[in-house]
Amino acid sequence: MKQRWIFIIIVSLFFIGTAEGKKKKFDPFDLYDHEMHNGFYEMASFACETCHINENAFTRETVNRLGCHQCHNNPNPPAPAEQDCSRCHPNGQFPKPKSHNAGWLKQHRIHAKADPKSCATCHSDSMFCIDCHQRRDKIQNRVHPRSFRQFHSIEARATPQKCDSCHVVQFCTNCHQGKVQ
Amino acid sequence: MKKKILLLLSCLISTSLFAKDDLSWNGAILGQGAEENGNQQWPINGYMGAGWKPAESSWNAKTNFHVYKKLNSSKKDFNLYQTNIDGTFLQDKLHLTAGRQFLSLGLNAWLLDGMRLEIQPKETWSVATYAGTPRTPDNGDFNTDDGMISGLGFFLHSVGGFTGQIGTHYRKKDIQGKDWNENDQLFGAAYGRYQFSEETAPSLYSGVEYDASGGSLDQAVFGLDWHPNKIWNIQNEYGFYNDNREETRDTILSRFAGGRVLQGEVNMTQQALSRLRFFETYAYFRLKDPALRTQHHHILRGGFTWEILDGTEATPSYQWVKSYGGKLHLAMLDLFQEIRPWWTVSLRGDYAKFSKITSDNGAAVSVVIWNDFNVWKDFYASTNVEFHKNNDIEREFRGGLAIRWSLGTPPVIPAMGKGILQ
Repeated sequence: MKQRWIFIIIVSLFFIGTAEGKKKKFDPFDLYDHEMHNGFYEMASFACETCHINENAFTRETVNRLGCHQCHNNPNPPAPAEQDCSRCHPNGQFPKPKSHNAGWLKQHRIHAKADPKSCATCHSDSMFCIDCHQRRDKIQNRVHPRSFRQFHSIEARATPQKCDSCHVVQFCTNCHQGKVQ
Repeated sequence: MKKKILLLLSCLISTSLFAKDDLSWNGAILGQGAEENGNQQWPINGYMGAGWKPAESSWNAKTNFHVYKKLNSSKKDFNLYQTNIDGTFLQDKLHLTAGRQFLSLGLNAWLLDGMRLEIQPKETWSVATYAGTPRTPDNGDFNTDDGMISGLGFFLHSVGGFTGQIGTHYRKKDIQGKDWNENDQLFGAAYGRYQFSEETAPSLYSGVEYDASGGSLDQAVFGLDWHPNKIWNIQNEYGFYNDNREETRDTILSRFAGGRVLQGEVNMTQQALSRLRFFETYAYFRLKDPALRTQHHHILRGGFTWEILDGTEATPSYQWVKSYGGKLHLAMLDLFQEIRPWWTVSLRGDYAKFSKITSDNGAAVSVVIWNDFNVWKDFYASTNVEFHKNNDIEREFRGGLAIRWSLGTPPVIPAMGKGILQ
């Protein structure tokens, strides 16, 4: 009975915020000061076209935002720059490129092999890849639904090659032969 | 091994304190208490990462690992995800990584204990080579029979809209094995992507892998990703996967398929309104089961993501799977809300009804809730409540606590409870 009330209280927390009304969306350009950056641009001999890639790229919507990453997501920046991602991307919120849309999880493997450097533009540390492909978390489920263990055999028989992208046969036999739980 | 890494970390920290180098340190500790059919469980997960970049140096070092322990049992685990030294030299034209690192290889993704060297004389092309021992956390680290691998790749970077790699690798699956046909693997592969234009943004992509030692085409994939207008995105993919070789180390594909797999898939999204996005998937697979009977499999999935308000998002979805393993109906609901800039809540619920060839039919329910608090700067605390009911457990409640932190310039740690199912 007690557990049921705990659930009800926590689920209802979802609706507290909706009653607050509309909040203003965070935009990292609210923090940006062009004048403050000018000295660094000169120091690094930065071309204006790095961010203003054409004559229309002078608004928040059209400017090349990846220009920031020349310094701010670079282990060897050409000018001193803060490397804390959460400054512009609070709570792990990152904008997705146009390609990261329909079926991206399916097709990303080919893109990653064709041009791994373009992935590293944003995913500069390979822990981003390891987090899904290699991480075996016995508390959190990162990729599969929580009850996946109950019905994984149905999907494994449909797309066994997909299992191979993260697991080896021992991962199956460890449980099915009772070596670990 | 753990002692050595802790010793290394202590050395790095103490050295960097004196040298005023760029040091980063991040970690997460998750503890959970579960009561399953009257039995209590207390698993604890720990993730640690550290990075060190000496002042005005062109190289840096980093490590990430995971420890797992069940408090009231002897179960424990240790996974070393990466520990490497990474350097760029000759005005970024030469890039060297030595140590344990991530390696994407063929159908699989591995960890490599070895070295990778990339030379990029021009913006438009580069050459990379690597050699070492492939590892995986599933296998247990530092086995003596993990074999070795070496490879070479030639890359083109955005030349007339084309990016691609032509590569080869040689792998000896068991270092002691002598049978060339079963134990050795000589791969030739080509992967490419062509972007027609930015306006309509269609792109073609393809990957082909040929196993010279087995004399077989291992994988061939062709896909089209197309944005006909601002609302629609359509992706088609056609694939061929082969597994007709007797290998020293078999794959999961070879366990469930007795030969070639043909696959066709279409994924679609529609940005109907600025806050409403629909997504659908249909995938068809044709393969022979281990008894060499032809089987037809289908996966159908659909749902939508509705951003109810800024910071409040709901994603209901439904999935249907039919394979020779059985049938599955899966309904899922994801809710995410940023209640305050420092407080987010996420809920993931799923209900599955399934029938299997093993006659282990049934239903499973799972609800997972995370509260995530940004306590101070990059220090977070999270609370977790879960409920599970399925064929194995009549009912189970779990409660969890997590803390995570990052100092310096670490990789971002994903918020608790956020998955990548979309």
